[in-house]
Amino acid sequence: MRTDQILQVILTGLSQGGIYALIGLGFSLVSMSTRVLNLAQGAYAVWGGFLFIAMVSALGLPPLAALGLAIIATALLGIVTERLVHIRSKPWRPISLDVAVLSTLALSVVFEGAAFLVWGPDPQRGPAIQSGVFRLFGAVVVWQSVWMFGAMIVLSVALHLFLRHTWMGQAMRACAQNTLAAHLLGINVRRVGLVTFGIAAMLGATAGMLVSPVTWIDYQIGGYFMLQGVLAFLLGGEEEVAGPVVGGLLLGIVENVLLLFPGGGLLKQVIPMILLIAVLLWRPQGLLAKRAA
Amino acid sequence: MCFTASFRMNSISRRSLMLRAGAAGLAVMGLGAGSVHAQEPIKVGLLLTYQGPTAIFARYEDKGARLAIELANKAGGINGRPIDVVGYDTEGKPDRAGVLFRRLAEEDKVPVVIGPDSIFVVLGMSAVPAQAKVLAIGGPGGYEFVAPKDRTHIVTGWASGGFANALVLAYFKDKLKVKRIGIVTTADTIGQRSADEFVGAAKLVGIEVAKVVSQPASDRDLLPSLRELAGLSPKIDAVAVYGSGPFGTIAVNQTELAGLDVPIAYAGGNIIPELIKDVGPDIGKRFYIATARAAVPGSLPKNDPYAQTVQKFVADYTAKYKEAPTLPAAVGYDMAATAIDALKAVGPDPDKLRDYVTSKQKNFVGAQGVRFNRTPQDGYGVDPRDNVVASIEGGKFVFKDYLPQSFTNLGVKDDAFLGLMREHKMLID
Repeated sequence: MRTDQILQVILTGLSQGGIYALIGLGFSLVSMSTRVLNLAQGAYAVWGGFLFIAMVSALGLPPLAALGLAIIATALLGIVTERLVHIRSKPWRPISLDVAVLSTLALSVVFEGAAFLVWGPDPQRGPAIQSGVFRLFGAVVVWQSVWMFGAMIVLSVALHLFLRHTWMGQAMRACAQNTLAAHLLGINVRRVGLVTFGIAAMLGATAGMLVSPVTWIDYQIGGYFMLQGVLAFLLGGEEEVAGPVVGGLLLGIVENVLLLFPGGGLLKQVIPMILLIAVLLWRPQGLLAKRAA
Repeated sequence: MCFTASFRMNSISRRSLMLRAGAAGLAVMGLGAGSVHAQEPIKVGLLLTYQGPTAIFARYEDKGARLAIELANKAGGINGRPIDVVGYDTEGKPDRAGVLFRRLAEEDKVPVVIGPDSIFVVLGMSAVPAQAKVLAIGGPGGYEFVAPKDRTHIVTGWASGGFANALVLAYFKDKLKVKRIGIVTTADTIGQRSADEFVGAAKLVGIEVAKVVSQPASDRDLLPSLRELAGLSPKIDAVAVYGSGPFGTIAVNQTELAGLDVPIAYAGGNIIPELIKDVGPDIGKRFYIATARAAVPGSLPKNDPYAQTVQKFVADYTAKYKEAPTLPAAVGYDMAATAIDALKAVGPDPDKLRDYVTSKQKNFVGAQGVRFNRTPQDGYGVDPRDNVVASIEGGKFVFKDYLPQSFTNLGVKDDAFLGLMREHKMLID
């Protein structure tokens, strides 16, 4: 096994893991402040990717403007999700978590179906922020992968600062601890929920846009994004930002390192699930989170 | 996807319904005697996959099939009876395809079904046609993966499937002087079997396979696998890629990034313009596929024995749809044309139709530029060597050479080739 080969799988794992982490962050954020596992998270990546491609190729917008508009438009999708899921809930009478999760699953199917109706069944490829490659100690690195990883780092740091140092971020964390108490303390829980879902959708959209030149986007790929994001979130644990980031990167690296071994392509689809089962059995709070008292 | 309800009929069948109603009116007035549409129509099933990753093929197959039926109806139908299409969408779900096939056989009473198309669908419902006792003239390119016991009532109209694609290695050995290859494939059952087909073809023509690497079909960064092949010692002088859709295109494109500036032998579903438009121009020139003549109508030599057949199909298709046809459109045409020819020969009796298509329909020339001679042992019914080698130039497939010539030049014996076909279940005993 050569050094450049090992470096290649690690670098590929980091860039893929960065995307898993971004989607996992969306799961973490929503779960943290509303306790809901939002299974529509993968659909935000699909919509973000498709909207970005449509705005650049069909409407001819500059990529930066398209990026901003696609993120905002997908945030609205997140807000719609929150409104529909919590349409009958009150801070003192929260919706059953089972119902909420199933509702987000149903919504993910609706969003996928809508994407099919708007953009059709064919995969589409988005424009790269920077095309081309460079060599790093013999390994080939695609510039877009650097952007994918870099964006994840920047957004993770920004999210961490947001949660620690802004009123809304602290309100989200308060809701995470006790929604009713947060409500009684004067926090507008519904608004917090809207902002949370909106940010989660923006994270998903960013992941979709960044990955669209690499993976291409089709209306059915949301299920794949959702699964990888859930894995990143559950592996890392609900430790605000660090959990999904570590979980996503670990998942990406493990998946790709397996390719170094015979039958790795098949194992790549199985081992992460076995890893998840092991984590859920022996460390259900995730690798980073502290065990609840 | 499950948000779209199944559909029946479309504008063509509604139009034929209206025509029949009009013709019936004329007949009542004594004006329509002798009209094709005055008689009871013969229904045929059309079961394709209009949603999901393979939907793009079905859209073309649908157009090709409907063209064949329209032309047949214009020419007098089946002994004066028009053909009516009963269409359903499998939505890419094998269980749904099985249920719909039964509905076509038992409720709609069709004597033959055109479809299903996708191998992923066919493999999940392959027992149903035999149970329903109705022949499926399907379109799976991987027909050899269908269990032999289920092939009694399934044949395929796709003349140049995965096995035929893999035979491009004869051209690699003969013309490109390739000695050693690596194979990239999808990490799933069909990917592994396709890799086996490449390995078998390589062995037949005397090419060494240095390594087979695989990644899940959902993967979009294939550099780990390609870099592994690039680092092999001694170096490989060609790479074989199996994979449809983005996987196939990305694998092909990333050969350049991985430092594998070598000829690429391709097998898979990327045989339509939409799926090759992202193949880089320099990469397209070293991309080779063994495929049917209908994939290269614009550059097919004029003295080709099938040139007229292919060009007539192109002209008919272009006149009807105002667009150039693709290979899957020719496949759809041949699926329907096979059924039409059989209906003309033996009428709408399901057993006789099956018997005719699987045993008696000889030298049936298809729009793909092939001659079908199916037998109970061979549901393809074509010689997989009788294809052309094509590359990509200007976003289109272009003719490079005839594949049979390479087999002749290499001195590959028929017995050895038939042995390979049996080994890969192209022929069953």
